[in-house]
This record gives sequence, C-alpha cells and structure tokens, in this order.
Amino acid sequence: MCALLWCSLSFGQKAAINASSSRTTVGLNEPFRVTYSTSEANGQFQAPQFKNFQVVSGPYTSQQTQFINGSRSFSKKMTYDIVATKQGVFNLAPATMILDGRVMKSNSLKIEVITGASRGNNSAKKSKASFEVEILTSKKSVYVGEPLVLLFRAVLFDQVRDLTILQQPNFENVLQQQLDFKQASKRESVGNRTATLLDFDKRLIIPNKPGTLKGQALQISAKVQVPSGRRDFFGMPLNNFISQVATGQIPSVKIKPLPSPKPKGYSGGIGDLNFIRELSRKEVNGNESITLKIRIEGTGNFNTLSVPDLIEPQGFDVYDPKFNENIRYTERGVRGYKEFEYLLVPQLKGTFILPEMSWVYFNTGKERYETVTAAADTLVVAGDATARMTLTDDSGLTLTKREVNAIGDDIRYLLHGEHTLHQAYDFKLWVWSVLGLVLLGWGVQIIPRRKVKNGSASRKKELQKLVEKAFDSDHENRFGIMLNSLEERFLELGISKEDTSLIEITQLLGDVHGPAVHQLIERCQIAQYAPNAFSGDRELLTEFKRLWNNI
Amino acid sequence: MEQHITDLSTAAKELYDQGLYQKALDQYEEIVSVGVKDTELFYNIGNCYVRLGEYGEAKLYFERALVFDPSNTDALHNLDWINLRLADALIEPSQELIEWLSELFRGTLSEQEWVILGSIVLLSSSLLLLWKRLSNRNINWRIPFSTTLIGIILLTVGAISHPKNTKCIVVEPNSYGYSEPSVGGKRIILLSEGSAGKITRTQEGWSLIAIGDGRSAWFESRQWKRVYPEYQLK
Repeated sequence: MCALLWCSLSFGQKAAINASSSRTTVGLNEPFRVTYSTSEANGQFQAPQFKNFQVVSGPYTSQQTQFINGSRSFSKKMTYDIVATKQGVFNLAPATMILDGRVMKSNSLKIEVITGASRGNNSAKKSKASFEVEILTSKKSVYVGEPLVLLFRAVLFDQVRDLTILQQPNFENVLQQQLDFKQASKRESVGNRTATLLDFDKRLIIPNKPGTLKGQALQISAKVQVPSGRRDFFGMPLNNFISQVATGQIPSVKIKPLPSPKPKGYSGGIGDLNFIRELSRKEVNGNESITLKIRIEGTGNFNTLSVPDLIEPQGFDVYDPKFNENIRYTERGVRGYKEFEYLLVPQLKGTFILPEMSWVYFNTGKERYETVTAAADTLVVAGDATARMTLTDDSGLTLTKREVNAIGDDIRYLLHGEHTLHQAYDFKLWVWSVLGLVLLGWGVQIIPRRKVKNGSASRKKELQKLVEKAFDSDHENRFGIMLNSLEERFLELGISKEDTSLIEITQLLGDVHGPAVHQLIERCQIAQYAPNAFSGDRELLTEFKRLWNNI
Repeated sequence: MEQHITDLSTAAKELYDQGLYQKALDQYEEIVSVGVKDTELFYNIGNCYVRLGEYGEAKLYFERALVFDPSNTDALHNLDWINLRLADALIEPSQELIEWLSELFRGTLSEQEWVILGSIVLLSSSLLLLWKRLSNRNINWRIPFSTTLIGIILLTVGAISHPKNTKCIVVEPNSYGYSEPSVGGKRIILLSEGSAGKITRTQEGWSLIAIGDGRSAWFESRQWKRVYPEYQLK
C-alpha cells in the first residue's frame, strides 16, 4: 500500500513542463526556435504571449512513446519559430499547463537580441539572400491629395514556401485603399541571379500632409530550403526548411504641398476633374418640374473634395438634393463622379435666371489651379404655376406670392399673463337662492289683485287708447266707442248716463270745459246715428284728446 | 401676494430662457402651491416638462391648461406636438356628448361666468314679476316667463360646463395593466407615458381604467394622474 502511494507521488512529481530555446542570443528579425516539452499527454497547454517577439510559424506538435525494459515513457513537444521585434534582453514568459485542476508553469527563457545576425551560421548565411521584399511606387513625387500606387513585390532567389506577411506597412498621414489585384509572378534576372518576382499586393495611397512618405516597414517571413549536410539511405542530400524574415522599407516619396496662395473658392479638389451642371429642360409648364444635376467627375480626391451648393434660381421651390456617386479605386487613381440631383418646382409664371456657377480645383497634370464655370441659364415657366397665389392691391396692381412651407416644428413659447388666484366657489346656495326668488315672483302672481286707488287712472288711459285705436283703424263703431268711453268716465266720476246734461257736466268740469265736453257728446251721438252724414273724424278725435285730459 | 406671484412668474420665465428648465419648473410649482390655477400657468409647466423630456407630465399639464380654456391655440398646438411623439399609438378615450358639450361651453365662458349670467337673468325675471304684481301694470306674462326660462337654461349650461373628473394620464415611463387589482394578477396591458384613459372604479391604490380602444384593466393609481383635479389618485 505504502509502495503504491510512493509510486503515485513520484509519478505526480514527474509531471512538469520544460522550455528550451535553440539560441539565447539572436539578431533582430532573425528567426529562432522555442520548444516546450512535457511528459503529460492530457494536460491543457497554454503558450506565453511572446511579448517583444513575433511567431513566424508554429506551433508544431510532436509526441513520442517509448517502452524500455517494460517501462513506458511518453514525451510531447510544442515548437514555435519566432523572431524578435526589438533589440535588448528579454525574458520569455513561462508557458502553462493545466492538469487535473493544477496549474503547472515552465521555466522562463532569457533571450538577448542584438543588431544583425548573432553568429556565423553557414546555412543561415546561405539562406540570407534567398528572398527579398520591396515596395515599388508609381511616382517619386506627388502633391498632397494626389493618388499614388504602391506595389508589394517579393523577389525569390531560391525555393521558398509559406510566405507570410508578418507586418503590414503602416503609412502615416495617408488614406490607403487596397486595389483589386491578382497575384502575378514572372522570372527575371536580378543582378547576376535569376529570380522569381511575385507581386502580391497593390495599394492606392492618398497623402494628406506634405513631407515624405513615412511609416512602419513591410515584413514577410518564409521557409527557405537549405542543405542539411546529411544524405538519405540512397545517398541523396537532405534539405531542411528554416524560417527567414525579409523587410521592405517604405519608398522615398516626396509629398509636395499645394501652391500658395490658394484661389478664393477653392473646393479642395485635386486631380484631373471636371465640373458639370445639367438641366433636364429649360422650358416647363407650371405643373412640371426641372431636374438639375451638379456633378464633379474625372480622376481625383473624391473622398475629400466638396461639390458646390446650388445657387438657387428665383421663382422655384428647390427640394433637398439626392446624392449619387460612383467611385472606383484604380491604378490610375480614384475615378468616377459625385453628383447632387435637385428637383426644381416652379412657383411662378415667367422667365428666371439660373445664376452662373464656378468651381476651382488643382489640376495635378498642369500643376496649377483651374476654374471651371457653368454659364448662366434662362428658365422659362409657361402656363399656371402650381402654388401660385394672386392678390390685387388697392391700386389694382396684381401681386403674385408663393406658398410658404414649414421647415420645422417645435412647441410654442411660454404664455405670460396675469395669474389669478383660484377660489373654490360653492354655487349651490347661490343658485338655490336665485331659483327661490324666481319661484316667489311667480307665486305672488297667483295672489288675487286688490282694488287700487289709482286704478281709474289706468282705466282712463286704456279707454283713451281704445278710442284712438278705433279711429286709427276706422272702426265702424268708432263714435259709439268714444261715447261709451266718455260715459264710463263720467260714471266713474259719479254722473250716470242719464244725467249727462250740460248743467251736470258744467258743474263737474267748470265753465270752460263743461260745455265743450257736452258738445262733444252731442256730436258723437249725431255721428253715431248718421255716420255717413258726418265728416271730420280727425277733428273730433283731436277735440276728444284735448278734453279727455281734463275730465 | 399678487406681487409675489408676479415675481415668481418672471423668475421662472428668465430661468426657462436660460435653459434651466428644472429650476423654472420649481418656480411654477411654487405658484401652483399658493393657489393659482389657470391656463397660462399649466401651459408653462407643460413646456418645462417637454424640455425636460417628461412627455407624460407635459401632456397632463397641457390637458389641464385646456380644462380652463379649451380653445387655447397654444395649448392645443403643444398637445398635438406631444401626441405625435408618444410611444403608444393609442386612441384617446372617446368623448361623451355631455363632455363634448361641457368643453364647448367652457370654450365660450367659464363655468363661473355661466352661473353668474344665469343668476343675473333669473334675478331680473324675479324683479320683473314683483314689479308686475306690485305696480298693477298689465305686463304680458310672456316676458317674465321667457327670462325665467333663459335663466334656468344658463344655469344648466353652467352645471354642464363643470369639467368631468374621470380622464387620467400615465406619468411614469410605463404602466402595466393587471386583470385584478393586485400585482399578483395577470398582466394584460402595457402602456407608455402619456397614454390616456378614463377611470371607472378605484380601490385601495388601484384604478380600473378604460383605454381608448375599449379595453379595461387595473392599474396602479400612483402611475396615473387625473387631468382634473390634479390630485393623485387614491
């Protein structure tokens, strides 16, 4: 039992991970090999981050099982080809392996990185010139904003494989665009050697700052075939493939600033460009529209140039433009067009001028600023304009106005007025009081009327109105009505119908009015019985009115 | 007091102009707290809430402004502006005939003015009747009868123009409608702020609210506010 426990412990102690390097002193960009080995088959391996180094190839895994004298041994190796990216002394961090929940770490490696190759290695020297990389440029000198084409080329002197870009060139202050490009190779004589030229990438560069083209160099790695110095069973020489790195420097290109001073209205356009203003028609009816296109076309810096705004003609509603563009990145630069398409809707009838427009750009071919001008056009609107409103002022002059369109929306501004204190009114009591008063008013109407003293006065007035109304309407019994009124009045004053003698009336009304009233009564009686023989209704009524007030 | 209110109002307007909408709102709320309730004040509070991005509260205050002056064009414009920006495409609760009449009458004269006018006409009628009786004049009965009738109609209009107390608005970012007045009930409706409904019943912190499309659900009362009066639902 104890023996078994001891075996188990001793076996556990063997589980370890070991790191080794093919070299401890290496040159900058010189590949070397790092190997991690372990005797455990099931652990989960995790490589370090290789800070300040770059993996050229790998990991390559190999494992080996051996039975010697009945005992089994196992080993597993993970190999990386790496290059240093910086000069100095660096510690390669340990790799880790997780086994049954335990984390095991390898030893760390100390690597010194020096400039150039670290040691005289014949095979390395041989393979040093096996391939090269270079960046070819279409121009040696360009203006800011002028496109430049770069071609990435590998020159292969020997047989190589696994070409890999380790580091892309990182150009500063440029806009770069990868061009559609098919890799091509050709055989050519370079120096006194024959080489294969492999063009593997092509880019369009548009510098945006004057100076020289700068940036991080291009680095590629490849496996180079070198003789191992050994021979196989048949006596044939054996070759090894070793990793190698080549660096292509950024080409020397001068970037010139644009000439100063820049002309007024310069648009930022650089290249071989043209400015065009197109009209779909110049004569329209009021219910039709015009399409106007403003276009910049040619070869140039379409990414940064600006298309001029339309100078709007009078008498038209101009809608927001539609933007069209078609830009292609080619070896000859950025080609295509940028276009704004406006819709002009006539608002008024008449002839209108579309003002002249001009556009300034820098012509790289002629190396000078150029101005392209679109001449003024005349637009004629016939018939009735769609949104026309005609008004006539006091002098008869006809004024034509156009409709106003809303261009935005927002809430309205604050109101500013006198604030009133809110009081809670209770109207119930008030309303019931008023209703009660009205009921009272109607209630008193049903109480029987009392005889009132001055009732005779109102009756007198009623009688007078009755007489006047009868005479006004030429009533056939008008004289009878007048007579009855006089009799009723005398009755009220205490003289009966039978007693209306001259004496009685004179006693009641005096010597002035008494005889006159008596005479009026007699005339009424005559008129009543012989109305056709009587003329002088108006005179009689006037007399009645005069005397009635004194009765 | 009048001077104090004017000062608060002026200060609030200045703060609003400077973009300090929360501070302007605080000033306006203070005016409300001293007992002022009118269209201008509620409209201005609504504007502050719009600028603060609280559209539910803003809608509530524009509706309140319209209670006092239903034809106020500024409040109507801002209410339309808010409704366009609310999340829910919910139909506003339909107006009953009496509510429509109420709004129509309030658009002409306030509730108070209708009652005062009716009372004046009825008082005139009473005086006419008394005068007819006491002066023994032969006044045609049709005149006092007509004035009495007109007075009663005016008082009825005043009673109708009193705003109804059922419309309410969601003032929280959203409000769940439950099948029963409890959070344990099934959620059946989700409304966003600014949605409006009509209260049909209340019960211990819950309100049964009918929304514009005819559905009803129990909502937590604290998430809603009545348009008139402005008090929180209980």
